[in-house]
Amino acid sequence: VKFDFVKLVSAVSAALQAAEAVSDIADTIADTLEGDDQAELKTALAELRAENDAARARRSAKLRAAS
Amino acid sequence: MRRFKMLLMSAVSMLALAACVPAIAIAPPNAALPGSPASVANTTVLDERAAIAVEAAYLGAGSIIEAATDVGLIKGALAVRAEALDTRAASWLGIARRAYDAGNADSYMKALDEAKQAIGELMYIGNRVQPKARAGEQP
Repeated sequence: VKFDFVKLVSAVSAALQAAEAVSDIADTIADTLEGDDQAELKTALAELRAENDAARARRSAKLRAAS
Repeated sequence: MRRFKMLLMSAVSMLALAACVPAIAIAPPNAALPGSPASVANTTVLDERAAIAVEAAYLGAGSIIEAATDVGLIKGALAVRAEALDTRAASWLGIARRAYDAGNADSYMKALDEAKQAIGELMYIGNRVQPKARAGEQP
């Protein structure tokens, strides 16, 4: 069995990076959803929308560059 | 992707229900219609919670794709495929956003306008997805 060390490290690194990002998001969302204050939730939603739009634009550029 | 799409569809349904259920449950038979969808939607945070859940799901999925792209795990044909799926997911997210905005609009006219746009988008995506689904491909 042959191991590509670089590929292996890359895969682990990507998995850790993704897990960290998702964990941060989950924590933020859990904190947000605990509250019942509508204004607070609306603000959080607006921030999430903006974050998603920015992330989508950044990701799209990276995917196009990688294709 | 199919699961994500189902999640988005569920969220869209929840948003619609969140706007309708309180009015049906609370209003007596002869009660006047509420002044606007926003006056109903503002009595509950269910629609905000559903919208936040959808946005978070998309942000989480996107983070994974971006991290994998950064380290070169997604490239070439896979990157093209990922971009296509991402575009489709973003379209569904747009529909969920429109449904939320319609439920919180200041007037019924604005709500109808938002709903019409959402339905138009839904039909556009549906028309694009259906032929592939019939051919046995993953939508």
